[in-house]
Amino acid sequence: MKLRASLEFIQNGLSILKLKRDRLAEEFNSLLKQMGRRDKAEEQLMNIYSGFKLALARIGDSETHSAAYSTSRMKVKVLERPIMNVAIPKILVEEKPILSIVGDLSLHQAGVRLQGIIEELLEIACIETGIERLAYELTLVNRKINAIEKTVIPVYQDQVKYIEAFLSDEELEDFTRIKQFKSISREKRT
Amino acid sequence: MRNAPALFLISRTHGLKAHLLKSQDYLRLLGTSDLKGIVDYLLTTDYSSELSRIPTEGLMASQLEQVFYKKLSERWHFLLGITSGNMRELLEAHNARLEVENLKRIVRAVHGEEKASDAQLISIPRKYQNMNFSALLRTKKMTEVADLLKETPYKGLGELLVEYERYNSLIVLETQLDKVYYSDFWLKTAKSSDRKRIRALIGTEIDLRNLQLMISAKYMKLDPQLIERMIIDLRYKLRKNATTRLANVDLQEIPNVPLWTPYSQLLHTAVELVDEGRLVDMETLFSRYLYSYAEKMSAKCPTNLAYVFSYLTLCLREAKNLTTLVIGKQTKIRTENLRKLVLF
Repeated sequence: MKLRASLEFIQNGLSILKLKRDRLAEEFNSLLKQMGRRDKAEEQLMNIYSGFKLALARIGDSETHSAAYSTSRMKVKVLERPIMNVAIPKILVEEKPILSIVGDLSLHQAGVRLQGIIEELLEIACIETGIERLAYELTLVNRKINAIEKTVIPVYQDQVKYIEAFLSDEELEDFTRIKQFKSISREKRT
Repeated sequence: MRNAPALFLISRTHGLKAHLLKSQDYLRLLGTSDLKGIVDYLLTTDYSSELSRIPTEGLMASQLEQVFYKKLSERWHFLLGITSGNMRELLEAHNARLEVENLKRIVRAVHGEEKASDAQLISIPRKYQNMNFSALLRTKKMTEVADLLKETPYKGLGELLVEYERYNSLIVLETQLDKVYYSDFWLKTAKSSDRKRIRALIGTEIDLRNLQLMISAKYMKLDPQLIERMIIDLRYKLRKNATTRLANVDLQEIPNVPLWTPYSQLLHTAVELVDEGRLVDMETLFSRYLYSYAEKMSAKCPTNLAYVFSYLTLCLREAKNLTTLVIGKQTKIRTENLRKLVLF
């Protein structure tokens, strides 16, 4: 009885694990769909970089450094969104950098565009980290499901079967013994 | 009859101008494949003594930029060393631009709570330094900078700190530094008999600065009041009502504002370039206009003191061009694109 209860418990656990796997897979697929953003962002980054190179060549290295110094730093907060106990990171931009210099429009423009792409890159980094964590968790869950389905449950089922067979044999033996006992006692009476 | 010191200065400048790089030099430099090629070529010019000290292994554009600006500073201050009296005052006022550029860099670092170093400043020979840059570099707050500038022509900076904090922008302070520089220079030209030509050169520069800044500020959609605040209030060809009107119209309407100045066509092209998103080309257009004006001025007035200031402006162009070339080569900008940036 105890073994059967354990088997039932394991089977319930298995179905919960399967539900977890489905939920993780669902989230994994939704994040995977957004992976295309990286190519687009990289292409944009290259465009911005080529514009920035022209501005840098026009203005000079020290002037560009000086302009960068005057820019306030970006402040971010890293949050975590739990999905089935897997923490998916989310980066919140709390303070955007303020570009103070207006003298060099091309440099300012490159700064503004870089700021935009950095926010996009942060989002992509979160997506990629999320995918990595989900994939790891999915592997673990799959391994657990396989182990339970292919090893634990069959062992339990075999044991239950063996005990059931043993019990029915014993029952049959008892029944035969009683029958024999009854026939002997009937013979003695006659 | 021009006085002897002025004639000496002008004739000396004629000799010095011959040392500036020519168009064919820039074309050769554009044709080089890397920084080493540029350095090799420049070893036959005025830059040879400085460049020969730099090891060619691991050569960086930023190192070369420092050399070019050091040479610029030397050229500017060399003329200062051979003059006296009113002419010296005038040259001092002109050369204060380097001081202003350095101050801007310090102010930016303080604003961004960063630490600027001596290497990031344009080198000014010690005997020509009018302020304690080492102390300024150690400052951490804008009030400390203002305190150190109390005894200098830039003392007005302290009064603008409230406004600076209100806008949380360096525009206010940087404009003030420019205003002090240009007004002092403008004022000093009054004593010169050649003021008309000198003012034409500096006036054109101020007008162009104001117009370019206006286009930039309009593009960034800054407050019209702040835009007016950024304008240098010295008038050459651009009248006050024109700048006020320009500050209050949309970017696309700028070319339609009648200015009655030679800048109308320039503005039209500049706004077109901005519309096309070619911001670097727009900025290059303004620089090209100024330097070609200086070139024309030096050709038109070979016996005027304006010739000296044209030469100084062309020295600046050379430093900027060489910087553009080395950064362009280092960052592997295509030659045809780099050529558009070089002003010759």
